[in-house]
Order: sequence, then C-alpha cells, then structure tokens
Amino acid sequence: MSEAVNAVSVKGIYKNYGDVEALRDMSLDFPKGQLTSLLGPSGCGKTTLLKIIAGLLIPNQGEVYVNDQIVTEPGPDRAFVFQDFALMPWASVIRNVAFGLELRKVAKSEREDIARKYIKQVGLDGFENSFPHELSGGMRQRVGLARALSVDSPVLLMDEPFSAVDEQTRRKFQEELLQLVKNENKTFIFVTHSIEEAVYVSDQVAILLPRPSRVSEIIKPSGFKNKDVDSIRKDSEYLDTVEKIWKSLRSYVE
Amino acid sequence: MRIFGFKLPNMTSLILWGLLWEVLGRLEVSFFLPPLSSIFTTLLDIYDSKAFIRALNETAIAFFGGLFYALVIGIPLGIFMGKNRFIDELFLPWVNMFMSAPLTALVPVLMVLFGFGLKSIIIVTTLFAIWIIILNTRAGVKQINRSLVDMANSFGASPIDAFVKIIFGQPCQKLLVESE
Repeated sequence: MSEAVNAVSVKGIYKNYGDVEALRDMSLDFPKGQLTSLLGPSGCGKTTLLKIIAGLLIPNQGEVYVNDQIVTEPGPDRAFVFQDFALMPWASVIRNVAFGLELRKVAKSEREDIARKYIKQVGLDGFENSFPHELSGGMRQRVGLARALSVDSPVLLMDEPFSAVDEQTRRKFQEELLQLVKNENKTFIFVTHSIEEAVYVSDQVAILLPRPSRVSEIIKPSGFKNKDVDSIRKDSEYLDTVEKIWKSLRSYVE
Repeated sequence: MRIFGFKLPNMTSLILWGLLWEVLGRLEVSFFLPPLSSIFTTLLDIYDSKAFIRALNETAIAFFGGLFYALVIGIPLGIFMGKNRFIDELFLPWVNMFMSAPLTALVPVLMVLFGFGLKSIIIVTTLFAIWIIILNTRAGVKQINRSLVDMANSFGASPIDAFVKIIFGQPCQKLLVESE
C-alpha cells in the first residue's frame, strides 16, 4: 500500500447558499503531518471549506479525500475544534473531553482514563470535575482541544480556535500549537483571519480570496520553522511573509 | 437568604405560612379554614380508613394520569415546535391562548362533553399542566447552540445520539432549572 502524500485533498468543490456562491471550483491539498492554514478576509469561504472537509456541510459538487478515500460525512479520521468551544454547559470537563469517545461507545472507565491523560496534556490537571462556566475562555478552548485530541484522529480541523481568547493566551496557544504539530504527527487544517497567526503556526498558508471564492496563492514559510518559539516573531522571513500577504490582501478589505 | 446576618433555614417561608394558617384557623375566621394542626391529627385518625384510601387513590390516578398525558403529548410537541417553523406557527397561538385562559371556566363544558367520571378529571389535569410543559420544552429546544449539534455530528453522533444527548439533554436541564 502506497503512503499518501496528502492527508486531505479537496477537488472541484462548489457550494452555494441559495443564490450566493460561497465556493467555486475549489481544489486544495493538505500534506500529511503538516499544518495548513486557510487564511482570508471574512466571506472568503474558509470556514465553509473546513466544514465541508469535516462532513458537516455537503458541497453542491466536488469531492473530499481523506487518505485517498472519498468522504461525505463526519468520521473517526477527523476531529474538529470549534471557534466557540462547543462545550456542553451541563457536563463536567472530563465528560466534555470524553464525549467523542462516549459517542463511539468506549466504556466509561476506559474513556475517562484517556480523557484524564489529555486533560493533563493540555494543562488542565485538577479541573476534571469543573464545569465550563467556571473556566476562563482560554481554559475552555483547552477542553475543546483535549476533546479533539482524545479521539486520536489523524486529521485535526480547527476553526479559528484562538479568536475567542485574549491576546496573551492566544500567543501561548500558538507556541503550544507549534509543539503539538511537531510532536503529534497529525495533519492540521487551521482556519484563521490573522495573518501573523497563519504565518507563525503554518507549514503552508493557503490564501483565499472572496467573490468568487478562490485560492489565490499558497505560501510555504520554511526558513524559520526550526527556530525556537521566541525568535520566530523577530525573524526577517517571518516579517517579510506577513508583509507580503498583507499587500496581496489589503485591496480586498473594505 | 440572610436577614440581619442570620442565615434563614430552607423552607422558612413554608414555616411562616404554616404559622399564619394555624393562627387564622384558631381564630375561627371561616369554617373552611381549620387550624393546620387539626388537619394533621385528623389525618392520623383516618389514614387507614377505606374512604380515605379510595379518595387518595382517585386523586393519585387523576394526578399521575394527567401528568402522564401532559408529558407524553407536551414534550414531543414542544420539540417539534422548537425545531420546525411551520408547526410552531400552527400551534403557538393556541398554546399561548390556553396558557393565559382561565381553564377553570372550561370545566363545566368538559363535564358536559365527557361526563363526571375519571376521564373528565384526567383531561382537566392534563389541560392544566400541558401548556407550560410545551412552552418550556420549546424554549429549551430553541436555545440549543447550533455548534453543539455540529460538535456531536463531527464526532460521529447518530441522529438518535445527537437527539438524546444534545437536543433532549438541554431542554431537560431547562425544565429542571425552571422548576427549581
């Protein structure tokens, strides 16, 4: 069996909401083990594309391939991290984290063991029995991340995961995400509207433009990837890439 | 609740109203208001008499029968109204009307229609309980976070799982909270 180079590919995706054309003939590859950002101004269809990959939206035309298999609905090969965290307010942290496993009929003691491991990994040790309303925004997203990690899917889909947390927490998350990509050997698809964030965390940035929605450019920042987290933000290639993307996007911002 | 720094025990208001009842009863304000204590002593005298058991039985059947139909009809209807615009528009005016209408006024009509038997009593009990159950269930379903449903689906929830754990889980929580 040949090893696929791309963990996820989308081919010729069309999606309309009534008369509005959200995506037109969108094709894109997501290399295995890497983090690809979908970056663009609002209305460019980046979240729509992510939800189609997740199987939460059905495209009007086109296919999504995960490990060279066509997928049309959610599956255990993909896990989703939500912008608004999507935690069940009536359930404790551990039940929220174990929820993906609960839906997969994993026995209670087993799924709680797994959940505990990932709660620890995201740094929420001791909060197992807290409820979402008792946690800060950043901690809630850690719960959302632990839930996505605990089902151990090879592909992680993240929909603006850090946009609802404060700026300091966001920087911390970005640094931790770099470590996660390095250590976990998973494929990450990351939607963001922050240019700095996309360049900082990505192996590949796909720039999407609206009306009609299309991939205008794919940028692969590489020079600073092996530097430590502190020096990336000062790196000249990092700064140049941010500048370059801003120049190509600025005319699309009203 | 605290008054002047003292923590009042739970059910303080119950004790206060009980005291008022006792006092008014002893003042012999009305034949229909015997003192609370005499009600308890009478209860001790009659609790094993046939007539009392029979009456208790009938009331229990009417209560649980009415509650049963109110829940079995009210919760599904509330869920459908919360999820479907058309069904909502169809039923909401009626639900709101009966919610605020003085249902007691309908009791004679129901007696004429269904007689004096148990059937009538259960229908009346159902009619008293069902509207608030419908409205609370509907409100619970309407408040469901769209992304929670997406979340359940993204982790491969079957429609039944998503229904039981998210759509049903949330209104249940709401019903419990509202009745607290």
